[in-house]
Amino acid sequence: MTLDLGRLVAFSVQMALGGVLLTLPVGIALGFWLARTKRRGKSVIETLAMLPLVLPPTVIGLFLLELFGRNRPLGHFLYESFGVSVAFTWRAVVIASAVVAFPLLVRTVQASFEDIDPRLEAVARTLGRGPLSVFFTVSLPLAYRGILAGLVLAFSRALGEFGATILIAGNIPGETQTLSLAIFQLVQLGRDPEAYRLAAVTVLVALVAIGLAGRLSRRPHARQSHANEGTFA
Amino acid sequence: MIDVHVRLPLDVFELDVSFDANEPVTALFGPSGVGKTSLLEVIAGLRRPAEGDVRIDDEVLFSSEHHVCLPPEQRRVGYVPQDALLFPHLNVRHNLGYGVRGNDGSIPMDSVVEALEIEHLLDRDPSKLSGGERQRVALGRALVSGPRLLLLDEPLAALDAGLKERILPYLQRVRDRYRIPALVVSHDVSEVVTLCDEVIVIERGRVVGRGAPRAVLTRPGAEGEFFRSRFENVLDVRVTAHEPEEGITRVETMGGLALVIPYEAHRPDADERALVGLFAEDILVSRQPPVGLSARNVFAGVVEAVDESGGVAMVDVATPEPVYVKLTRRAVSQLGIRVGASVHLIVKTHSIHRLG
Repeated sequence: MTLDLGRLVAFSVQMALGGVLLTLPVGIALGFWLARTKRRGKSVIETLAMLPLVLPPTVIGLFLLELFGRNRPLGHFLYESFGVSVAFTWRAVVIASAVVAFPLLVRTVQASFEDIDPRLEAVARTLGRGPLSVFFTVSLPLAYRGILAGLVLAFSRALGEFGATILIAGNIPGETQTLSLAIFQLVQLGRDPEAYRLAAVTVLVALVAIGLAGRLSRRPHARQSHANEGTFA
Repeated sequence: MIDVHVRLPLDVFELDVSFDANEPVTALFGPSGVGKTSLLEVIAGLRRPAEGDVRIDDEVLFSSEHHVCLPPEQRRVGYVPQDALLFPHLNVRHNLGYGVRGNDGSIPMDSVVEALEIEHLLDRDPSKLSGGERQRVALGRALVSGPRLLLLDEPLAALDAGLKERILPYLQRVRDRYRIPALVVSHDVSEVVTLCDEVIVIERGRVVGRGAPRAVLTRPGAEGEFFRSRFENVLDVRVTAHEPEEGITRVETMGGLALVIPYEAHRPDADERALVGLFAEDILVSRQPPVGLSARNVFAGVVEAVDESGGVAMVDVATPEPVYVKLTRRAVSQLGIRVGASVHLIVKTHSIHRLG
């Protein structure tokens, strides 16, 4: 096994980013809904959304295999209709990242929307703006910092994803191998110094992500947000 | 014209009110926690009543019978909440312009900015504003959205009474300039008397009285608030002369009552209009023309009404302007003050203060 470090880092970051971006629209929508709804079904949905956080990643991997395996209904359908295979490709890595990152994103997003006074949204409605317009001009800008914090958290979780990924995507160097999978393989092969080097690189990537988010959240128009003060402290 | 019939269960009691408001500015008066704010929220479309209907002119905003419930953005009702609720992520200019799309051009933003004197605040963040400035911007934001009805929730409540920057004069200016019908929630007697053409008294979710503010608020019983409050006579005056070396400014009311008030260097415009306040308890009464007094304001009048039902006496004196004087019942009996008696009112210069 030869290591192309640059490629490995780029691939891992891409997969984690891809997973986070995949969850982002749903995560924000669900987080907002959970923050505002008073319906009874809320706690059931909340629990379901948290499930990937408490389940062992290997269990998630099994579920995903059950869904996306070539012989399973969804996997079969995707392959037959679009010629797309998921299992044991980079797509599986993205999906695994997305699933494990989802609860963290939803939790943080929900909390940051809950921090906004819903009466601000109500006043915006009386000023002639529909719910969607109010969401994009009031709720979202005010929750900006919290959402960014959620993104960093979700990204970090996606970057470290191992259990679900190895089950549904395997550990194929140059195809589905991410940093954490490579570290595992190196340790198994007894190549500890290289494993430590990769570990150091992973820490670096995580630090860069946190630093970047901190800088973005200090942009002027987000300064007034009171949502999740001190999340990055 | 606004027509409201609403039944809405609240935490401790049920809001069940019916009224129509035809006057330009109508006050919803009553102690805190009687459901006045909930009522405004129902009219604005932010809260759904159990049943009833809400109409402005002939348009139905809500009707439980006909299953109509217009969303707030289609009601064109400008809501100014008690705590202003400016958007914290937008500066004053963008707060003002937030609802401008709904404006048909009849209320230009420039005119609102000028009327409310907020030009110098446009680039500031809401967190950098004082309470009174925040209220003015919130009022401006509602106006710029082009409403056909304004809902003002306790416009004075968020302000420290001692603050000079009172919002009342601005409310008067907005009332006179734009002529938008308004419902004003208040438990401030002076505010209601000064600003409103009619008052509807609400207690524990019910309408218990209505009529002209001065008449309703002096009635004994539910409206006894009048006797307990520090009633402030609010007079609309024109500055006639400044005499800085004497430390006074001469003003005159529309009815021709001349007054002397303290000179203020930063308000030099002669002929300018202003509002002055005069607390009912700060006025002395004499049956004879007083002599050798330091007080600069002495004017004759005739007692129009004496109301002692609130434990103290509120005496309505007709001078060129109607003025309320608060006296003890003992003073009333000893001086022989009764309807038709001629009296002299004595007011120190410094008992009259400018509002706004």
